[in-house]
Amino acid sequence: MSFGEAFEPILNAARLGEEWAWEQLYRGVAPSVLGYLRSRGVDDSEDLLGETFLQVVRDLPTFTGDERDFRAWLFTIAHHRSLDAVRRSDRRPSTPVDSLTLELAGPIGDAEEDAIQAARAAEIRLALNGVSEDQRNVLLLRLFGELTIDEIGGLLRKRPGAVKALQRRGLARLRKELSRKGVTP
Amino acid sequence: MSSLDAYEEDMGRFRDLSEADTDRLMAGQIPLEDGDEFKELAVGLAALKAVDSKGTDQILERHLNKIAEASRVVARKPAPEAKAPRGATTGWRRALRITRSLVAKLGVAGAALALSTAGLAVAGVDLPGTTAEDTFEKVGIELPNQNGDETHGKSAAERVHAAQDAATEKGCEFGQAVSAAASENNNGKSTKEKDPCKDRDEEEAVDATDDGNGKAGEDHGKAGLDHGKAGEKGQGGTKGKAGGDHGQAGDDHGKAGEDHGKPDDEEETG
Repeated sequence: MSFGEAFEPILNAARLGEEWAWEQLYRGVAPSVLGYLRSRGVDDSEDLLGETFLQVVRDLPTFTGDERDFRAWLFTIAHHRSLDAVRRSDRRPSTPVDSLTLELAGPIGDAEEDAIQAARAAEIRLALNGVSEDQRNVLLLRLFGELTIDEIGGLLRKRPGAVKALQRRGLARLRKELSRKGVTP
Repeated sequence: MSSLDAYEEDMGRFRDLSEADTDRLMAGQIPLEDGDEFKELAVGLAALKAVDSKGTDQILERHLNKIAEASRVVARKPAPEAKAPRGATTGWRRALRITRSLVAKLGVAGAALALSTAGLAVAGVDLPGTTAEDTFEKVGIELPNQNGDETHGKSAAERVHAAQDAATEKGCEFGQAVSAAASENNNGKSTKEKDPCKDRDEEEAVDATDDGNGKAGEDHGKAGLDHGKAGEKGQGGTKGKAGGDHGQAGDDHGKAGEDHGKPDDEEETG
């Protein structure tokens, strides 16, 4: 979700502690951050989402930039939080979210369609276990964060060329994993 | 075909994929070129994004209360002051800083000089020149252990010249004054312990009284003869008296020779 020209007034109001502004920001970016944390297999990803936003609140006085910068900054915080959480749990971030959790997670429209979508998501999540940590980071930041190659390079401290290579190899590996498991759309 | 060959083949396909199509794929959309090959992957990524991003509505209230409370606390705090980077210091500010530093250093140096000067003065050292003394006097401080006379601080040559200028007559006393000025010590006291002029006069008077062969006695004798006074009082007596007068006149040193006959004239007049 993009705020466009409304972003700056919303951010200024958020700096002043206006609750409505924080609600706007939360509704706009929290879903993608939550998706990033979940797809990384972080335990208690919802709590981690709350901690991420609390850090954004604390550090907002030091932030300068536009909406894209804000998004990159937010995902940088979320990424580092997830690394800490994974380290704490001492487990590989590969646990798939079961279908029950997915059903409880959001509103259900067409039950059949939702079931198919959940199955596809689960397969992709499993396929992500076959890619390297760096490749997964790049793919998920591109997918959920909608960050550019340069932004991801800054976040992961890698050169843009290296990020592109990780993306290409990650996609190739993912595609191969999907075809090997025989998942068909 | 081995698994590795298949992977290399996939890699080749992704290498051929344009930047725009890669972006589309990462956004969960099917690439425009070779869409069928990547459809499975694109649909799977879109499903993952849709499914994992759900659920924030249920936790919104819980999170928002904490966020709003924290943001109110942060908003009440003053924003941290951003420090200007070192390179951003403007030229005039740098110049002002350097000037202040220089002034401070000069001030410290001046204070140290004044203190050391005062310290030396207290320690009993007579400071050369009058500049330091005058400076202290201007601010109402009188340095201890310094000479108070007018000639203090003047060189020996200056003192001698001053003595020469002050003397109206040249003679023994004039020489004495010049000698005293030249040998004057730092405390302004003359090293002269006895008056050579007086001693000399006394010796001459004694000589004249004893045998009348001294030069002064002869001169007096001559003067007495010239003025016709010696005839009545006798040579020796006249000589003795004249010698005594001469000794008195000798206080004016040098002049005595010139005005040698003056006392006799006065006597004659009297």
